[in-house]
Amino acid sequence: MRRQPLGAFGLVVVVVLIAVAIFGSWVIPYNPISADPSAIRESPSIHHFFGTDQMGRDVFSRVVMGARLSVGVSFTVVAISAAISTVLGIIAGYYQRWPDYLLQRMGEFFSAFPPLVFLLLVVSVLHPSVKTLLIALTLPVALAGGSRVIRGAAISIKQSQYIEAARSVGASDARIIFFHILPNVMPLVIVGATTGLGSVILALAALGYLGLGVPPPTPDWGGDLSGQARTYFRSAPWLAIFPGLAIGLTVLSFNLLGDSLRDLLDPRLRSRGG
Amino acid sequence: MQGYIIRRAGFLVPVLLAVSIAVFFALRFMPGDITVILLGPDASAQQVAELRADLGLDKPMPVQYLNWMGDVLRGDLGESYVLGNSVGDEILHRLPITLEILVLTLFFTTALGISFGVISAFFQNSPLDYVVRVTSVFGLSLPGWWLGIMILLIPSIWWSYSPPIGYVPIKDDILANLRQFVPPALVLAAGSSAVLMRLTRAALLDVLRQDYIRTARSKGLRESTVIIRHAVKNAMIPIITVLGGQMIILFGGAVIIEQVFSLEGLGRYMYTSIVQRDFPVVQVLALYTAVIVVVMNLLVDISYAWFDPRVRYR
Repeated sequence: MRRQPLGAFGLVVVVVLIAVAIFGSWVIPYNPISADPSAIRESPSIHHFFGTDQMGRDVFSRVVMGARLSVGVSFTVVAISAAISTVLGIIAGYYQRWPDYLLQRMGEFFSAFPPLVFLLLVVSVLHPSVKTLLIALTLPVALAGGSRVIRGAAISIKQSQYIEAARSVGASDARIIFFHILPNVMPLVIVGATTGLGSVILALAALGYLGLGVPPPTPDWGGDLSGQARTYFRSAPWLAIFPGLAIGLTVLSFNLLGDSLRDLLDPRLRSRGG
Repeated sequence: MQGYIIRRAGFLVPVLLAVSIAVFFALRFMPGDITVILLGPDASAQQVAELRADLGLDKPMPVQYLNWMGDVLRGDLGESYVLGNSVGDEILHRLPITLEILVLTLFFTTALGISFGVISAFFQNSPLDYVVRVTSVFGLSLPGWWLGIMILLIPSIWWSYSPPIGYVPIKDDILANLRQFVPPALVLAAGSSAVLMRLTRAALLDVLRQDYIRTARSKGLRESTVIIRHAVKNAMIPIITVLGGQMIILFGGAVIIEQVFSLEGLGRYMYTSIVQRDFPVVQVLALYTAVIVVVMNLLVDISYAWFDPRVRYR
């Protein structure tokens, strides 16, 4: 903890964020989706910590409940896509030859789309919903032909002596993959997943801002910065500030945590003492 | 090397064909009928049928695709369903806006990313290094479009300042033009320069440990010569790889940044066309982005050879 103060800060924020996502509905002072015509665009005060929006809804409650969507979507997407890209990465690296060739070409085809453009296309082909967002955000990873980092690691691990030893005592491919290669690439998977959480939250927010996220009135950090709210930013800047800060702080924490994990888990960096 | 370039270039054709087919058919499965959008919900069945025939939508999908591809290959990019104008003209009209954003962003990204990366590596573990690294994590974490909203909002609240409205071409008034384009470019560059800075730092630290750097130093070369001629040049390969990748991301980023700054570039064209189900426009723009992306990837590969002579002898 003391050697990685920034990572510790990231870890604390991530833990708080997860707690807020799970227990947020117990601490919010107002219902985040019920409009209050008597409290329209009130500035932040003791009653409304982050002020109210153009429909009189409490911004603090919306930001707190927005954590549920961001955390829920990002953890689901990253869990599924990390599993897919790890498996494909190991297959490409371990078997090489045609599975590797096929997966590499898939990756090349897929890399012909800028990520945001691909998301826009997928989201608009499907109906807007949380399920659509999950599909749109997971698909790029599934189609990218596996993680290149994992593939590279699998290739180098495959050539090590302990794999040769395992094979010489008759271990099957499945056994070698599950008991020898997978545990050794796990640190890379964890580091990748942590920074992946940050990028998924950024992508989700961008879609929300473009009006292609979850349909209103579900609280959504990106969505709350789009649509009608935009016309009031000048007179009610708190509408623009707080959801944006929530996105920034969340992604920042995941990145700080990911950086620290990389320093702690990557043996190459550890031996350098840097 | 030549054979390598030819093989890589030959691979572009199937990739682009696959992209065009994927986008063409995906668009046709979009919810929301274009005829309803154009004619309104009260149109008669006959009107709808006439419009479908007019737009060629009554033919089977593979025929529609071949007709479209044939036109595109002959240089006819088709017409917008919604505006009725030529997609090619509209692209030419909007290209300078997106191009200027991207060129300025690329300039800020390389200038900030590489120079701070070199500084950070050179003064490793000093307070300066920490400041640069922490700043770069912020750059990675804050959404560029939100920074854009803030850049527009804060001066307008405090000083009632707003950038010129409506596109001002660079040849008309260079200052007004830069007032319009520098903020979006800086905001877009925040994220990509942070990525580049972190990579430059890591690549340089790697290179600085090599024996040939010690040799260069022990020959008595000046430190600046060691850094620029020996270290930076050898760290260029990973830097270029990332820069190429970042350019592709920026291309998507232009979609959202043009929206924030109300600039009528290609990104906004893409966004509004997708929202309005304007198939001909989306098809062409998707193909066009794919062409740029694959060509960019090819250029990155070719530039390896320029920076690393070993690649040439492969």
